[in-house]
Amino acid sequence: MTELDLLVLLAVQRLGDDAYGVTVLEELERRTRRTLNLGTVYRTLARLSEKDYVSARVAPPTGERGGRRKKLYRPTGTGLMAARDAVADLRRLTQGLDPELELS
Amino acid sequence: MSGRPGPRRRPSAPLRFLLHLILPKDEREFFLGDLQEGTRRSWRRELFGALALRISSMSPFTRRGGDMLSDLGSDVRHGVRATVRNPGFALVGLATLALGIGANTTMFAIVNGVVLQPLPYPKADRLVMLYERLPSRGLESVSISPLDFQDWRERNRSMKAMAAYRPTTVNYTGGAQPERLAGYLVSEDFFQVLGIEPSRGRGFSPDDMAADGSPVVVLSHGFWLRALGGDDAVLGHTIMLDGVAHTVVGVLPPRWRPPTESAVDVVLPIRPEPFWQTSRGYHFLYGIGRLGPGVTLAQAQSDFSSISAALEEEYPDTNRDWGAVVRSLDDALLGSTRPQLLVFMAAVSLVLLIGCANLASMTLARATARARDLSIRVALGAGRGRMLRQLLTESALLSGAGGLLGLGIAFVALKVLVAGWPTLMPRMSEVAVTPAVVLLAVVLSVLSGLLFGFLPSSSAPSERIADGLRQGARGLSGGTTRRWTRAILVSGEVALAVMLLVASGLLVRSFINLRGDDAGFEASGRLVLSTPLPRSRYPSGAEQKRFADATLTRLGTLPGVKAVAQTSLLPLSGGRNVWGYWLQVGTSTGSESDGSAVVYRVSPGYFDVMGIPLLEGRAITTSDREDGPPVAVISAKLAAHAFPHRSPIGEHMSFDPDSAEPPAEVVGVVGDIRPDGLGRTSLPQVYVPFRQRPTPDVSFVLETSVAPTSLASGVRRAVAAVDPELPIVGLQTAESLIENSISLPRLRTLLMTAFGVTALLLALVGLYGLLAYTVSQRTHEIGIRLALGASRGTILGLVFREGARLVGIGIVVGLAGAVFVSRVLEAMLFEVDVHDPMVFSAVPLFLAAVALVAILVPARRASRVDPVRTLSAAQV
Repeated sequence: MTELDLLVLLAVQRLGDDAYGVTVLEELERRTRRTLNLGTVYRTLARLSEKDYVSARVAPPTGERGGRRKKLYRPTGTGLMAARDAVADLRRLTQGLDPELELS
Repeated sequence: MSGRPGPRRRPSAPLRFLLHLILPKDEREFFLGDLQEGTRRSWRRELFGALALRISSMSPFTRRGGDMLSDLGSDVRHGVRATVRNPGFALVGLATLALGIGANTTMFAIVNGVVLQPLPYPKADRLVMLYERLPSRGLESVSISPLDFQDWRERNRSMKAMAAYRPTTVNYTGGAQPERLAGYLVSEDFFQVLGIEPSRGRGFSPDDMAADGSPVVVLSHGFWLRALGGDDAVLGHTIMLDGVAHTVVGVLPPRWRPPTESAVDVVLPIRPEPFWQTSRGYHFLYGIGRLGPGVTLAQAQSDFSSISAALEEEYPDTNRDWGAVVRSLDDALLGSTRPQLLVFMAAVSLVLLIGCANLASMTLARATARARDLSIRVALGAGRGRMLRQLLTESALLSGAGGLLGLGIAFVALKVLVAGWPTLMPRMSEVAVTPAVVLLAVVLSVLSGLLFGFLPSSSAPSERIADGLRQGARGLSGGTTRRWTRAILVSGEVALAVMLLVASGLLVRSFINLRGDDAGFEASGRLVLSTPLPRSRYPSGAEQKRFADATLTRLGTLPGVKAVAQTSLLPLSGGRNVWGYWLQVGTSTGSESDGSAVVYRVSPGYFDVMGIPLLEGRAITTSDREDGPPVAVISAKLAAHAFPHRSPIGEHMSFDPDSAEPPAEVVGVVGDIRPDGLGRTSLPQVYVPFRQRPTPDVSFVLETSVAPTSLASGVRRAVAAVDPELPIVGLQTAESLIENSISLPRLRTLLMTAFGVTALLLALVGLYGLLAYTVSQRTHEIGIRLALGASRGTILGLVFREGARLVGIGIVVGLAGAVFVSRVLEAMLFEVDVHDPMVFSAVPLFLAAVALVAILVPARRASRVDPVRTLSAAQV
């Protein structure tokens, strides 16, 4: 799982029932202070979906979206497990490195 | 964070359009919706994201462009300068290469998608199709009867697994408007045999196959995306098919394709019906099997043949003469397509070859003309290798650009072909620009660059520098080897052009014959449409008749409609409904059927509306009611075959000798039609009253007094007024039915003619180029000849003879090649001999005539040389 995969997966999990393209993008930009574009988020979601880390469902069109539908995502069990493993790996790897990395 | 809400920035229309174009179809709606919702995002910036999304959704292959050439910076710069200085040469070369490489890449993409790519199933070479055969009737692959299939499955020892399926269509309601979907009815093991499991949900279980099981459906990936937006929540939900709620239990993976059809939207379980058990005479199942470990095709064939032989003994009434056929899936799908494709692949390769020969010839001429320039560079210390590299770089530049353009052409051509002719050949939907296709374009570019670059540059000047410098451009003109090389190239071009022209001439003649073939009915001013009825809502004949009557009435009252009739099957529509018939001799019918015919169930007035001539007796009329005696009208061919030397009127024939129903009386004879397409031999036809034998297959024909297509919306309203949920299929003019039936031969003919004409043009350009160049190089010599008293006629003859010799040799060699090559076209020709004397004599005459122009222009120029001016110019 790439870093971006993990970030997007976590953003999807944070957003609960409201995770779709633009909300995931905004959540990521807000929390990571990175500038991303929608295409990147879509590609990552497609990759995650392919790995069965997220599942998609289609929600009805809204006026705000010009009468277009949206595709809602949520992490699957496999996805959550993978995220948990990745975060645990990070924790183990950063243990004791706090001063150097200025984590604290 | 971009922040919401904020001032709404509306993107410009071109930007919206561009995004729409770039975004992959599956994600377009969601992506654009998201963009609109995230109001303050810059749409322009998202363009790049969308592009990346598009690229990643296409293929994992990404191309690094131009690296190879970057080292050769100076050569490239010089090459570009040389090219720009001589844009005529560059443009002709670019066009030739782009077209040649484009055509070859297109053809290869088709060959690759259709023939070379393995079928998308694990161990696809172990998959076989199973058919029954009835050699005594000339039928080699017939669908299987369910009882036979059951016995095959139980008794065979050669298959690991076997499944049955049957193509079907269903009406889908729930989208924007009712839609006719292509589907498969399959037995339980179907997915296992193919080795493909649904990517979401499940396949079918034994419970799904029970006659009283609840309706379930597995969706194709494409349909799931298109109609349901790729919604994962769809599993367990229901969709309406033929008016019945079906639970979605699975979605197939994207790469799945049906074994024999081009695409299906839904897969449904096939459920046994009571009539299956009544006779082995009903043939409607297709069988597919996976060979057991170590079993060969021949072993499987002999296994199934012996089972068939046993069944023949056990059930002589129904199974006499019936056998089994085991064919590899690959062969069943592509048996007849492969040779045709290879012919076209060969044809485009020839075109490219001619193009390269032309360019080589032109480059030779140019190299000669540039002799002075090159000689100076050699004199200044450029090595022979450096010169070679320079020349090759120039040709590489040209061929690289040509290849890139060609790839673009192929990309567009494939899009048009796949969208416009989806049934051109099996697996057409799998044709795409894949890495292999791109690789081919690259290889072709490199090869053609070498081909037309190497020949000339291999004789790049070095030894004769002094000559080159002294004599200027004229210095190397007399190089005999070079002139010979060019002469051979031009003759070769003519020969290849002759071969391609003969091929296209044969196809054109065949197509003209096909066009002239009589469909047997009047097509102009007729509109046709089909409204297949779902059995769930129209289970009985009474309901089917009610629908047909109500629709006939409504259609008949539309303004602009002269008359309307109804039929179960439209001619040339690709549908088939073949029944066996039994002639009644005395009071009994034989146990074996007397033949087969295509059966049409029609309303009164059908023959008038279709313009099918009544030859004898009467047509089907309103007096042929459901409770009246059954009647039939037969086609002339059937009358001649079944009732030789006597009138068939008053004779009786049965379509099911076991039923209690009385045989039908033959009341009329009508003209033959072509049920399967122009130029196809076909079974004779039988017409019976729809009222006496109703069916859910309902089609209408309208004879109109106005332009038929102007009635389309009226027709839609009329059908919707009777049943708003019913989709209309194939609303078109009867003329387009005919056109569609010959669209493949037309495309074939067009393609081959395009190749032939391109080859001819290239050869002419080559011929003209060579002669014009020779004349310009020999101006000095011609001037001397004229000064010494040669007449202008002699000079004209001199050049003319040279050209005529090149063309003559080309034509002779080309005809010899064509005799050989045309044999492979045999299967594509209709009523034309592969060695048709007309084509074989017309092509050389035509070519000679147009070549005359290409020869005469430079010859006349030669004869008009002014000796005084030429000779004085030479002394300066």
